[in-house]
This record gives sequence, C-alpha cells and structure tokens, in this order.
Amino acid sequence: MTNEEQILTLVRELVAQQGESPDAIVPQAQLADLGIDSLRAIDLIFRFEEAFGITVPMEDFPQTTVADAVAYVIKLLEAKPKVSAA
Amino acid sequence: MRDGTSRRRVAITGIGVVCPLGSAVADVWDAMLAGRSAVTAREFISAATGTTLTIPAASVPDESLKPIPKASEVMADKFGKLALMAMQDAIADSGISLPQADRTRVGISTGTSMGGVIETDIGFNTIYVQKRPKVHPFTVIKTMFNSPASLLCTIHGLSGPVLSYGITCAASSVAIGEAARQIQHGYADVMIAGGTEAPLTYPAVNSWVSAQLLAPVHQMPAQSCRPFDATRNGTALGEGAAYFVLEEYEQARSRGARILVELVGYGVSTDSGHLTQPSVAGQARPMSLALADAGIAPEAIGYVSAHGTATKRNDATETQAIRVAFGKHAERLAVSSHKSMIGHLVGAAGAVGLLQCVMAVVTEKVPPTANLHTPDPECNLDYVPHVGRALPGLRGAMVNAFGLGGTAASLLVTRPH
Repeated sequence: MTNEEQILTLVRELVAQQGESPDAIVPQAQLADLGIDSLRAIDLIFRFEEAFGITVPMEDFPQTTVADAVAYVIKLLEAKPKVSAA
Repeated sequence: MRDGTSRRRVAITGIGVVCPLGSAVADVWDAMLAGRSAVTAREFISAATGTTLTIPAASVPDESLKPIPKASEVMADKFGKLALMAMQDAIADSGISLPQADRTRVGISTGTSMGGVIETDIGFNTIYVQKRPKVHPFTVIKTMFNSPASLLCTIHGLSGPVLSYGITCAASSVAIGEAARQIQHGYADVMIAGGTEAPLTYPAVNSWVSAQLLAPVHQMPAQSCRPFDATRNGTALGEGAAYFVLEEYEQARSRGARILVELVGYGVSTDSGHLTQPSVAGQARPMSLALADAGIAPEAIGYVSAHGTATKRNDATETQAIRVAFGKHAERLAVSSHKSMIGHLVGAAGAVGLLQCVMAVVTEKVPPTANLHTPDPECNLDYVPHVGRALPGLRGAMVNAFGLGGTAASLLVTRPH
C-alpha cells in the first residue's frame, strides 16, 4: 500500500466510525463536510501518529480538504529519518 | 419544614434503566419482584502480570445495551454510554418534547462514584504496559466525571443547570435530591437526574477486594450478596445506570404528562464518625430529614428500599436506624435491598433504589431481598425474603443511600394527587 492509500484508509476508518459514508472521501471533499471538525481532527492526527510513528503538529494541520490533509501527512512521512532494517 | 407557598412541587414523569436485570423498566421490575439474581462469579485478569481475581459481580447483558448516537459513542466511556441509554429512555418515557421546551430551564444532575474507570484503565495500560507515547486524545473527555451530563447536553442543546456529583454510593441519590431542589426553588423546570457506574476492571475490582468490601464468591454465586442474612459477608459489584425525568408539578400536569409519583422529600447529612463505618444516628438522620422535608408522618410510608450492602455492619446499623427514624411504624414497613440481585451499583445504587420506590407505589407491590435464608436477630424487620408481594394501598416509599466517606441521603416519593 502506498503512503497515500494508507492515509486514506485511516481517514475512511474514522469517518465510518462516526456513521458517515466512507464513499464521500474524495480528494476535494471538505473535512468539515465529512464530520471531521477540530475535535475529530485531533483523533485523526492521533491515528496518523500511531500508525506512522511521526509527530503531526496540530497548529499546521490543514483543516480544509482531504487532499490538503493527505499531502501534509505525506510531507511529514517523507521528512521522517529512514531507519534501515536490522 | 416545608412551606407550600414558596416551594414548587416535583413530579417524576419518566424512568430509564440499564442494569444487570435488563433495560426495559417493566422487565427489570418483573425480575426484581421474582427475586432473580444476576450476580455471577466473574474473573478479571491483570494485563501486567496475568494474575486473576474472581469476585461476585453483575454486568449489563449485551442484549440490554441500546443504540446511542454514533457521535456520542466515540466520545464515551461505558459509564457515559450506559447513562446516555438510560437518559434517552427516561426522556422517551416521560413524553416530554425537549425541542419545544425552554431548554435554558432544562438541566441534568448525575452521580457517579468512580467515573470513566474503563477508559482510565485503557489509558494507564497504554502508558505503563504498552509503553506507548500517547493515550487516545479523547481520554480526557471520556473519563471526566461530567461526561454523562455533557453527552446528553450536546445532543439536546440543554443549557439549564448541569451538575455532576461524585459521592460514592450516595452519588445518585444526592444528584436526584439536588435536582429536585433546583426545580423546587425555581432554577429549572425540568431536570434529568440519576446515576451511572461501570467499574468492572481488574484494578477497580482489586481496590474493592483489598478494602475488604466484597463477599467471596458463594458456593451458589448468585447468592453471594445476602443482605440482612445472618451469614452475610460483603457485597457484590455491579454496573448500570438509572435516570428519571423530574418536572415542575403544575407544568407536568398542564402538558398532560403521566405523573408516576411526586418526589416529596429529600434528606442529606453526613455520618462523620468514621470514614467507612456507619453509625445508627448517622443513618437515621437523612431518613428523618426526608420525612420532615416532606412534612409527612412515618405512617405514610409503606416501603423502604434499603442501602442493604450485606456487610455485617451496614445491615445491623441500618435496621436500628430505620427503627429510630420510623419509631413503632418500623414494624409495619416492608424493607428490601436490590443489591441482593444486581450487586452494588455504587454511583447508580440510589437511583436504582428510587426506581424500586417509584414502581412500588405505582404497582402497589414491593420487591424482595433475595438470598435471605437465615434470619439474623440483629436484623429484625420485614425484609420481604425471596419474592416480592402485593401491598395494596401503598402510598409512600423511601430509598436510602449511605456513601463511603459519610454522605447519607434519603429520598421520599408518594402517589400523585
């Protein structure tokens, strides 16, 4: 799974848990329209942090579209120091 | 003493319950009247060491859990979810339309003893056992003691007084009594009041075992909690929630509400001799205060839902305290303890006791004390052993709740008129 696919899977899981349809998750969808308000954005950020072992600064997390959020997390993943397999 | 001209009256118009005997009031009541015990031997396992602890406990059956809004589910510990289920049912049962009410005058009053135990346990497990860097971001919201109240508030847009009481075994009785006062003195017109507890985790259970409060599992586990019995040796732990809709009496009447009972008396005081051991005077006092608050004589009461934890000290003390508060009339009272059937619901115990009082007055039947096989000369009142019985003409009932730490509360309800 690519980074993007993994990220979208986490978004789908969160959205489904809230009772919204995961089909509504398209790149241009507004996070707010998916029920991801500032409180649920904190939950989303937590899931990204747990899944990828990164720190996602809350202040800079874009609360606009799905595409913006995905791009932001991908940037953080690419900036993460690579750990070589033992 | 009560001054009828300056204090408004309080009607109870709805009940909701989710407890080890079920989540439909009628079913729970039938099970109680039949003396059915939901207490079983329940094993808990330490996540750190694998050590097990087996105690008598009663839990809410899965099939009794009710749907709640998804948005609330992710924000709630089990104690919050159970509360929401019971509050929703109480509101539905009352027939009140919250959107049409003046919601600045609708409030909530909820009690719990231990709050978000399960999510707190998950949080500690995350940090200490799994050694992960962060707990889930909603842990604060899920575990805060006012979570049940906030969850309901958010759903219905309520902006009246929203109060949370952490007063151990007396929490829900105080929550309900104080809710009544909000209405009586004009601060609110409707209060959704009750209590909730979901304490069944290894560490919480361990703390109760360690404090010598729990009975060992009996040969017949369902009989582990034996209030007023000569062989009683402690209580069982339960989980559940019970809530009521309290309304200003005249407003309830003018909207055509079905008024179950009138909440006429509330007494709260502190038994402060010892942190955990009761005194006769300390337990008698809230009963006397409730009677005085209602301005009625002991003879108006036919049933007492006792605190009845089945500890050696409580039951003997409570027996004498009832005699002090009711005098000669104590001999004519029916007294019983629901803890014999569902264990100790702690922060919800008073509320479940109030359910028994309301249903007793409505149906003119009194529920039993289960597991009462060997009478104790120190406990010599009519505890309605084994099965409930009809009590035609029953007009008034009282519930007692005596909390660890001393707060003692009694509530009194009578047939509406």
